[in-house]
Formats: sequence, structure tokens, C-alpha cells
Amino acid sequence: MFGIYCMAQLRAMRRLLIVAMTAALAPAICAAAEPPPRSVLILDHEDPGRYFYGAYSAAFRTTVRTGSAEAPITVYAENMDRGRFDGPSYPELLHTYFKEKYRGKDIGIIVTVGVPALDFILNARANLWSGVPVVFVAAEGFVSQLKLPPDVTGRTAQLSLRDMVDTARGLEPRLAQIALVGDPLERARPSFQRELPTLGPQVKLIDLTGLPMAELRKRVAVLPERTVIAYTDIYVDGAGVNYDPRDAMVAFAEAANRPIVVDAESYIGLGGVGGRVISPGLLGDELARLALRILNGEGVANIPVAKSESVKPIFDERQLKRWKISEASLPEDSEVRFRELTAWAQYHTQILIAFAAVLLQSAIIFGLLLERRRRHAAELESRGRLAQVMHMNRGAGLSAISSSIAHELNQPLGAILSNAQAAEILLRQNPPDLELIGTILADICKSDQRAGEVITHLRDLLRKNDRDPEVVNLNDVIMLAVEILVPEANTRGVKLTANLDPNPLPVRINPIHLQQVILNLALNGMDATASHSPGDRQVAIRAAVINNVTIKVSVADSGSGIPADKLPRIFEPFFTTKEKGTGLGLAIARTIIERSGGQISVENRPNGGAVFRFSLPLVKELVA
Amino acid sequence: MTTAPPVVHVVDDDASFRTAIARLLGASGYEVALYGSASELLEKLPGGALGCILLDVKMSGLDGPQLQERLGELGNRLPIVFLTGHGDVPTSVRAIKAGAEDFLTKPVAKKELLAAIERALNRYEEIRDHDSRIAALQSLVSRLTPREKEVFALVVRGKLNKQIAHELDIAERTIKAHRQQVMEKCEVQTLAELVLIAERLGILAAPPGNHGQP
Repeated sequence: MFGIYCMAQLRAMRRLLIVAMTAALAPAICAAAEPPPRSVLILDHEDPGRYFYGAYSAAFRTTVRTGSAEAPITVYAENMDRGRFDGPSYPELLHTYFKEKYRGKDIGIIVTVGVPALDFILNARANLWSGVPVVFVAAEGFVSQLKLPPDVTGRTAQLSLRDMVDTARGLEPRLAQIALVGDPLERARPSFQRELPTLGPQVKLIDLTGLPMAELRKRVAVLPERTVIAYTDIYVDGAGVNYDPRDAMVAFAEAANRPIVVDAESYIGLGGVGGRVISPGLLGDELARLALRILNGEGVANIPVAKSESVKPIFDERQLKRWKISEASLPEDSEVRFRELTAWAQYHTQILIAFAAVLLQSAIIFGLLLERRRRHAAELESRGRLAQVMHMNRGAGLSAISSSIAHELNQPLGAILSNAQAAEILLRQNPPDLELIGTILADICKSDQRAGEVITHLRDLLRKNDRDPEVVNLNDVIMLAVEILVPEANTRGVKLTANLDPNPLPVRINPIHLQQVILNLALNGMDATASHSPGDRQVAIRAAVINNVTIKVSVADSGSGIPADKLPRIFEPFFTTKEKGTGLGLAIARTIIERSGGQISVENRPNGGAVFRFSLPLVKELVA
Repeated sequence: MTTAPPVVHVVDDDASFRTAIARLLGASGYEVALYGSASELLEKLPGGALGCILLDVKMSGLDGPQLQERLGELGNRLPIVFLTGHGDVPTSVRAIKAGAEDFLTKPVAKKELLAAIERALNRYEEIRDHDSRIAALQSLVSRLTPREKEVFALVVRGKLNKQIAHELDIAERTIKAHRQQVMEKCEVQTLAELVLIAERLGILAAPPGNHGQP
């Protein structure tokens, strides 16, 4: 790449330029003491359209720009395009051209890339840019033959066939052949020609240089085993077709049956496995940093010529995989590109986010399910508790009226016993009064039935299992409750009255619960009248239909009413105005009524006492 | 005193129970009078014939204990046997304290019931005998003149004739005559007998200045 043309041409050019150089010697000495102008001229030996030039010059400009923010540096660039313009008069023409072109332009430093560019400048500098320091990059083989002036320094980069063969042996340890692809060596890599004799007997050369593309594609497809292809550049194939060497690489690489090693970074990723390559990006950066040091006043003499750091082993992982080459066999400092990243490596953020989202979602779903279960359990528990409390409360009510139940029951039992014993006596008489005995037996049956009814009522009252709501006649429920309450009312000297609607009042409710509500309200009313004289103890139950849709039931007592401050809280659980109350009766009554779509309220009557009212929706079906 | 069978007055608001009890008592040889409520009994208040009241505790209107109280006010001496469907302690204590003969729980066995009724009847006979003896004594004492009654009251308290004469401010001889009259009218021979009459009629309990009737 840097030794693009032959030494004979170089020598001819040098002779030409010596004349001009002598003429311009004096001004160069004068300019040495002044601080260098902040401008750079890049002189490249190739054509500006080449990838390599574009890549390094871009890197160079970037580094210069970022390194000289406070004092901008002007960058000029010239491309000698020696591949296509190599006539004997060309250097002289360039000389004249530059002379005219850069008249009046101060150049602070010249950067040359390639052997012809360095060679040209070394000859022409005295006349064109006398005393302007030079930074170069060129083939080591060429530089080592020069005696460089003190204001010229740079980096050497030697691409060698040896390197390519060594790389190839790394990839294919049993390497027997190296297939050389590219333009003829004298154009592509003159230095390789000199190396050919040193390859030794172990590796045979298969020369595929200078072939037409079609022929080349055929040949690379049938290479023998233990062969590695070494690619330089193809600018023009054997048929005279011009190529961008990168396109040429792609064109033959896809047909190749063996791995391809290369020596320029620009070929990585196009089908070659890789190799010790020169990286234009690193090179541009390296040259720019050197130029900056000099422009910033550092003496050129302090910067010795050294090997460029832009050459390094770079490989294409896709190709390594294709040829089943282990990364372990690569040089230690190798850079592996085009790693086929695993899904994890490529998208680990997205995967993490998605995973977290799924996890979060699962947690939420799980949490919601758990919550739902807990709520369900709590509902069941609360329903169970309510049933329990209702039953308990009913029990409490029962104990209050148990004496009247005993009375109710013992009344028929007493009658039965007395009747039976009377009959016993009558049977012993002579003659027995059989007619009377018959009447007695009939009465015993009646009393027995009556006792049975009391037991049935009692059982209804005590029944624990909650019946589903059913359509019942509210009148019947009230009557049953009154029947249960009458003995208690009598005992307490309370006048209990029930004023019912003449028509059936169908409601949908658990009748036992409804009965409990009425019992509770009526018993509360009786309690409220206890402090009054017997004539003033009254509890009145009324039921009536309002608007044909609602049934209103009121339970009014003649007591002293409820203290105004306690009225609003009267339905709250565990709130009681009684000394021995549980505070549950009215709370349960409200629950029962509201659950059946009704409402319950309480107010004090203007002339004393309280009245509890509850409503229930009238059901359209009539009770049979 | 009379050959008529004893009457059991049954007060119960439960017709079936009333009838059954009436049959049992009738078959057992008692005369039975039935009342559906306390007020009904008060209307047809039975007289002094041998008998007792079988009274239900729990009734609409006046209940058993209230009727008992009312009868006491009216001076009716018929013994009362309570019957209750549910024997609660406070009610029974109240009833017994107020003079009830017995307190039975329904359903009541025949033996128990008849025994209670017999006890009540016997008790009534005792009461009646006692009452008639007191009445006889009272009729004796009622024949005394006011002055003789004054002398009687002081004699039975153990006062000497001289003391009585001084107290009533009359001659001792006159006192002697009055004292003779008292002994005769009360049909007694000794002072001890006279004191016994005074004791039974409650004259001794009265303050010495009060010479009125017991």
C-alpha cells in the first residue's frame, strides 16, 4: 500500500527535485524560529475515493478538531493518485501546481501518507514549503533506507507476507498452501515479492494474482485442503475491469472454499477472516496527535520515528465460526468483531424489562388472587358471624320470653294431665261415665296438638340454618310474632296490638329473620314502657301498603322515647341504651331489612314514645 | 258446721285447663266453681262455705298475686293454692309471704294437687273454727255496759279493786258489784278464765287507757 511504485521511478523523481530544492533553501532557514502556522497539509499518495483515505482522513480531522478547540487548525489535503498518474513528468507538474495553489497559504506541518508522498515531499519541500516539518507514515523498508532530516519524523507500518502466512498458520495449523489473491504483486505489494524466497519449503504459493474475476471465483472455489487465501487488493482485474478492492473482495470471497486472511482493516467484515491489519481510524488519530504535538511547539527532534500502533490483529467472528476456527488459536491481543451477540447480549435490557414486567404482572395477579381469596374468606367469615350473632341474639330474645313459652307449653300439658287423671277416676266408677270420658279424651287430643304447635313455633324460632328468602305474607309473620309475644306482653302488663292490612302483604325475605326483627322491635318497645304505670304500657304494630310498591311496618311504643343524642347511633352494633342490652338487636334488624331491599328508621313520637319504621318492597306474587 | 261438700274455686284464663281441672276435682268428690278471670271471681265473691281458691299465676287482666292482694283487702279468708306454668322464684316467694297455702307447678299430679287442696280446706276449717270462737266471746263481752267494760279491762290487767276505784273515781264497793256482773255476763267463774277471754279478743294488746272493743 505504501510501496505502490517501483524504486526506479522514485530515483528519477528525486533527481528532478534536487534542483528546485537548492533554490528554496534560504527562506527555510529563516522560518525555523517562528511558531508554526496553525495549518496542516495532508499529502496522500492515492486517489481520494479510496476507503482507506476517507477513513483515516476523517479520523485525523476529528482528532485535530477536538485537540485544537481554542486555536483552530486548517487542514488541507492533496491526493497524488499515483496509481493512475505515474508519468515521468508528474512530480514536476505537481510541484508547479502546489507552488501556484499554495501561494500565500502558510502551512504549519505536512503529513504524508505512503512512500511516494514522503518521497515527493522530501524532494520538493525545500522549494515548496521550506522548513515546514513533516510527519509521515510509510513502509518501514523504505524509511529505513533514508537519512531523514531532523524536522521529519513519523511512523512506519510494514505490511508483510510473513505476517499473512503466520496468521494463516494460526487459522490452519497444518497449512500447506497459501493462495495469493490480488493485483500482481509488483503493483499491490512490491515488498511481498522480496519476501517470496524466504517463505521456505513448508508453504507452497498458489498464485491467483492478476486473474479476471470470473476465473478467480472458479479457482478459489476448488482450492485444496490445508490452504488459506491471502488477499491484498484488486483495483483492476485480469480482464481490465476496475474495482473498488472492497467490492472485489466481496465478489470472490463468496465463492471461496477456504478462509481468507487480509492485511487492511477495511476488508474486515466483507468475507475475510481477518489478520494483522492496518486500521485507518487508528492511523488517522495517531498522525493527528503527532501533528498537534508539533504544532503546539514540541520539537520534532523529540519525536523519534517509531512503529505505527495502527496495526493490530482483528478478526471477524462470523468467519471464524464459518471455518470452525477457535478464538483460542488467535494472537493474544486480537480484537474480534461482528460477534453474533446472543439474544441476551443484544437485548439484555429489553429482556430484563420484559422479564421484570412479567414478574411484576405475575406478582400483581398473584396478589390479586390472594386478595380475592382473602376477601372471599372474610366474606364467608363475616356471613357466618352474622348468622351466629343473629342466632345468638334470637337466643337472647328467647330467654326473655322463655317463661311465656314455658307457660304456653305447660298450659296444655297441665290440661292433659288433669284430664287423664280425671278419666282414670271416672273409669273406676260403676258405671263409668263413658260419654264424659270420650269428651275428656277428645280434649286431651286437642291439648296435645296445641302443645305440638307451641313446639313447632319454638323450633321455627330456634332454627339455625338460614333459609333462603322466600315469598311470605308479612301479615302472617307479624301474627306469629304477636302470638309468641302476647304471653310476655301480658306478664309485663303491656297492651300489644297489631293493626294489619286486610290484604296479603307478600314480601321476599327469610321469614325467621323477619320475625326476629318484629320480635326485637316489639320487645324493645315493651322494655321502653316498663317504667310507666300498667295502663300506659302500649306497643302497637301496624302494617300497610304505600303506593302499591312498598310495605311499611311501624312498631310504636308508649315509652319515654329515645334520648335525642342517642337516636343517630341507635342502629350501630354494640350501641345500646339498655343496661343489659347486647347492642346487637337493632343492628341485626337493620342488616336483615337492608339485605332484603328495605330501610329502617326510628323517631320519637310527639306525644311520647318511639316509633320504629321499616319498609320492604312489595312482591307482585300473591301468597297462596 | 255444714254437710255441703267443700267448693274449689278455679281461676284460670285457659278454658281447656279449667275444664280438665274441674273434671279431676269433680271426679275426686269436690264441688267446683269455675272463673275465666280474676274479675269474674271478684264479681261472684264466694261466701263463707268450706272451700279454697285454685289460682293461675299468669292471666290477662289481674294476675294471681294481684287477685290475692285484692281478696286480702276485701277480708276474704278463703285459702289460696297457686298454680303456675312456669315457677319463678320471686313470684312464689311473694305469693307465700302474702299468705298463699301452696304453690304448684303445671302440669300438676293428682296426688299433689288433692293433697294441697285438702291442706287448704283443713286450714280453712281451722280458720273458721277460730273465727267462730272469737265471735262467741265477742258476743259475751258485747253484753257488758260501758262501765263494766272499763272495770273488765282493768281487772284483766291484774289491778286490785282499790286501785280500780281510785282510777275510775268511784267507791270500792261499787267496783266489787261491777266485777261480779262482768264474771256473770262472761260466763266465767275464775279471774284466769276472764284473762283468757281478754287475751283472745286482743284486749290485753290494746293500751290500758283504751277501753274500747277489740
